[in-house]
Amino acid sequence: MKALFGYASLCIEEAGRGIWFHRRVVAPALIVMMASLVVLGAFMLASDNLNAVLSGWRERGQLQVFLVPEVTPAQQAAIDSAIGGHSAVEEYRFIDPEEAAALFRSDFSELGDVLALLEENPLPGSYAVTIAAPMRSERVLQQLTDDLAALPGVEGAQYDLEIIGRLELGVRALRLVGVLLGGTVLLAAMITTANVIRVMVFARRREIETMRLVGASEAVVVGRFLVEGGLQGLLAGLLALAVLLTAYSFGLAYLDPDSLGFLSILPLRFLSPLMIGGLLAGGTITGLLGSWFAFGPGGVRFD
Amino acid sequence: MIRAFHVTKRYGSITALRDVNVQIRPGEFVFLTGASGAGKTTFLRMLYRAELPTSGQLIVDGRNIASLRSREVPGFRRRIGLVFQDARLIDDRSSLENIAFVGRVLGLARGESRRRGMELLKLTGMDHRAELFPAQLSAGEKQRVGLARALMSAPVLLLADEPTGNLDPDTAIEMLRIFRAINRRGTTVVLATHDPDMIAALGRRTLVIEGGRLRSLERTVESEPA
Ligand SMILES: Nc1ncnc2c1ncn2[C@@H]1O[C@H](COP(=O)(O)OP(=O)(O)OP(=O)(O)O)[C@@H](O)[C@H]1O
Ligand SMILES: [Mg+2]
Repeated sequence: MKALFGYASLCIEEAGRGIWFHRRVVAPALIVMMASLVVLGAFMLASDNLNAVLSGWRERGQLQVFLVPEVTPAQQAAIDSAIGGHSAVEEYRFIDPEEAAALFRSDFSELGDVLALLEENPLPGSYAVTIAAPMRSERVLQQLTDDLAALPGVEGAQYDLEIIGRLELGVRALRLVGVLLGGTVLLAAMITTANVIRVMVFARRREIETMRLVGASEAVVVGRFLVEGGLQGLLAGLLALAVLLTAYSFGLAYLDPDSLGFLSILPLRFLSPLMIGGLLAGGTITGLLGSWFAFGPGGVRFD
Repeated sequence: MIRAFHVTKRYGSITALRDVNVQIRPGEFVFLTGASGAGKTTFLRMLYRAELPTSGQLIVDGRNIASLRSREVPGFRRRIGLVFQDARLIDDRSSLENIAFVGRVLGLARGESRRRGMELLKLTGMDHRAELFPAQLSAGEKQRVGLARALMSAPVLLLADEPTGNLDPDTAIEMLRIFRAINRRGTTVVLATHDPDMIAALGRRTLVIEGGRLRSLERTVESEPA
C-alpha cells in the first residue's frame, strides 16, 4: 500500500516535472486538447439547458384544444362538458380570441403589433387543459387528444409532449453533432498528445536510459509518461472548464434577457457536477490513451 | 564479486574483448586501464548488463549476467553504483534532485531521499551546488554529483568509468580519496582510467586491456595517500 503510494507519487512528481520543464513543447498539445474539450462542453451545455426546458414542459402536462372560428354555442357546450367530464383532466380554462391575442402580444413583443395590421383577430378560441399528474402518460394524452380532436367544432388538439417529442429529437441531434464533432477533435487531440509524448520520449531517450541504469523499473519509466499524458489531459480539461465558465458568466452578465426572445425561457445553468466530472475524465483518458499509443505498437522503442 | 570465464565481446567484425578471465573479490579495489578504444567501457558495460557477452560466462554479485531476466535487471542494478565517463545527469532537475531520484526509485520518501542526497553531496564536496541544474555545472562538478548519485543505493559494487578524466590533479586525488573511503567501508570498486599517475598514487591491482586481452598486474606501488 505504502509502496503503491510511493510509486504513484513518484510518477506524478516526475510527470509534473516533465510537463513543466518541457512546457514549450507541451503547450500546443494542451491547447488543441483544451479546444476540443471546449467544443464538447459547449454542446453539452446547450443540450443540457434545452433538456431542462423540455422536461419543465413535460411536467406541466398541458393540452390545447383549438376551436374552429365558426363554432356554435351548442358545439362549444358539448366540447366543454367533454373536457370537464373527463377523469384525467385536472383543470381547464377557455381562452377566447381576445385573450389569445393579448398573450401573443406579451410573448412576442418584438414582433410589434402584427395583429393590429390584420382586420380580424386570426386567433381561434381555445381550451388550455391540464392533465392530472398521475395520468400524464403519452398514451393517455394521445387518446384524449384524438378524442377531443374528433368532436365537431374542434379545429385540432395538441398536447405538449408532441412538440416536446419533436424538440427532443432536435436536442438529440444537437447532442449527436456535439459528440461527433467533439469526438473528432478529441481524437485529433489524442493523436497530438501521442506525438508530443513520442517526441519527448525520443528526445529524452538518453535520460530514460540513465533512469534505467540507476535501477528505475519499467513501471516507473513508462508509468511517469502515462501519468504525464493523463495529467496533460486533466489540465486541458480544467482549462476548458475555465473557458466555458468564463464564456457562460460573460453571457449571463452581458446578454439582456429581454433581447433573448424565446431563449429567455431557458433556465440557463452551468454544467452539472457529473458533466464536469465527465469532461475532466474525458480529457484525462484522452491524454492517457495518447501516451499509451506513444509507447504501444509502432510507438517508441529503445532496445 | 566478479568472475569472468572466457568472456568475448564482438561488435560485428570488431572484437572488443577476447577470452577474458578474471576474478575480483568482494571488497577489492581494482583499476582498469588500457589505451583509448581498448575496451574498458565495454567491459564495465557488461558488468552492469548494458551489454551481454558474445560468449563466455560473466558472474556479477552472484548473478549470471546472460541469464538475468529483464524484470530482474532493475533490482540487480540497484546493488551497483555507476559513475559514467560523461556523468549522465538528468537535465530537468537539480544536482540534489538527480541524487534524490535514486532514493525514490529505491522506495524512500521524498524528504528522506533529499536528506541522504544532501549528505552524499557533502561527501563529494558538492553541497554548495545542490540546487544547480546540470547545465550550470562544470564537467568535473557533474562527475562529483554523479559519484554522489552512485552512492545513493549504498552499492556493494561501484563501477566508475574515468571519473577523474575532467578533473584537475588535486581534485582528482580528492575524488580518489573518496573512492578509497567508500572501498574501506566494504564496497568493491572497479575504476577505469588511463591516468598512470592515479594508478601509481594508490597502488592497487590493475587490470590492463591490450589488444582485446585482459591481464592482471598486482600492486605496482605500495604507497597510499593519507
Ligand atoms: N556499440 C558499439 N558498436 C560497435 N563498436 C563498438 C561499440 N561500442 C564500442 N565499440 C568498439 O569497441 C572498442 C572498445 O570501445 P570502448 O568504448 O570499450 O573503449 P574504451 O577503452 O572505453 O576507450 P576510451 O578510453 O576512449 O573510453 C572500440 O574499438 C569501439 O569502437
Ligand atoms: Mg571508455
